[in-house]
Amino acid sequence: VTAIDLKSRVREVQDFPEPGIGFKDIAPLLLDPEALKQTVGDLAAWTSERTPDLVLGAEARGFWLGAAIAVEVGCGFVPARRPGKLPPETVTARYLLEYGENALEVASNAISQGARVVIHDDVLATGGTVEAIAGLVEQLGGHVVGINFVIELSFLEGRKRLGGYDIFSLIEY
Amino acid sequence: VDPARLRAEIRFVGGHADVWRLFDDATLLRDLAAALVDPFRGRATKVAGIESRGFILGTAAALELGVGFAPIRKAEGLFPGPKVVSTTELDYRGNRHELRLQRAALDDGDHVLLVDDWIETGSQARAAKSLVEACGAELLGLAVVVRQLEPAEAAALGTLHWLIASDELDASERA
Repeated sequence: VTAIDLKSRVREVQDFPEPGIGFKDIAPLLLDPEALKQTVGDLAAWTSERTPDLVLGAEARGFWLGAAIAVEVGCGFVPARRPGKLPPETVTARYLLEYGENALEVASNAISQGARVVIHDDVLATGGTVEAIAGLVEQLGGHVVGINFVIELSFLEGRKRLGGYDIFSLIEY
Repeated sequence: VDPARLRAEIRFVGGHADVWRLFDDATLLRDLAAALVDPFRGRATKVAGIESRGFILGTAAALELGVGFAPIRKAEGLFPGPKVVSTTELDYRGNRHELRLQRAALDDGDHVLLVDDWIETGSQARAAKSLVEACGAELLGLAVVVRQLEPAEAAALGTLHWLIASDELDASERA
C-alpha cells in the first residue's frame, strides 16, 4: 500500500483569517478515510514510542485527533479546555496570542504525579499554546514526554521556543 | 458497554455531569466508539461531530466505521471556505449557538451519522440535521452515550441510538 501524500489533503486558504495569512485547513484530511487513518496511525506510532499514560489534546482542534491517537496507542485522553467548561478543580494557564490573550484549563485530578503525557495539537505555529499546556502538566506533577502536531509552520520557529521538548510533526511548511 | 461502567464514570459535580472520565481510559473510549457505531455499520458514509466534545468521539467513531469525519463548528472557530450555517433554538440555559459546516464536507447522497456524548434537548442535533440536508445529504441518525431527550421527541432526527439514559445515571451527587 502506497502512503498518501498527506500535504495533498491540506487545503491552503490564502488571506484567511486576514490578508497576508495563509491558513492550513486539515478538514479535507479528516474527510478522507485513508488519509485520516494514516495520520492517526503515524502520530500514534510516534506517540507509542514515548510510552505515555495519557494523550492531552487542546480545545478545539486538538480534539479532532487527540482521542483517536489515544485509542490507537492504548492510553487515555485528557482535554485542555477553555475556561469555565470543566468541572472544578482546575489549573489555568493564560498565554498571549498575536492579538490578545487566551486561556486553557486542565482538571487538577486528570494528571497524577509522575504521569507520562504526550500533548497533541493540530498546528505548531509560535508554540505558545502548547508551551502553556506543558506548564500545566508539569504544575500537576506530570512529565511531558512528547508533543506532536499534524502541521508545523516552521517559519514561525515554534520548535525553537519548545526547545526542551521532544517534538514531532507530520507535515511541514 | 456495560451500563454499570458508564454509571461509575459519569459523575455529577455541582449539578453538572462530568463526562471526562469516559475519555481517560483507552479501553472504554475504544469500546464506546465501537458501541456507538454498531447499528450504522455499512450504512453511514460520513460521521459528523459538533464542537467541541462531539469531536472527541466523532473522529474515533469515523475511524471505527472507516469513513471520513466532518466537523461542525460553532461561531468562534477559524473555519475557512463556503459554509452552510444554522442557528440552534434557545437551550434551557438561554443560549443559542450558530453551527457551521463546510459545504465541501458532504456530497449529495452522503448518509451522515451524528455522534456526541450527550443529547439533552436535541436543539443542536436539529440544527445539524438542517446543515446536512442543506448539503444535499441525509442524516441517518444520532449515536450518543447518554440520552436525556425522550425518543419520541427525537423522531425527526432519524435513528436514535444511545448507550444509557440520563435517568439511569447515579444522581446521588446531583445538586
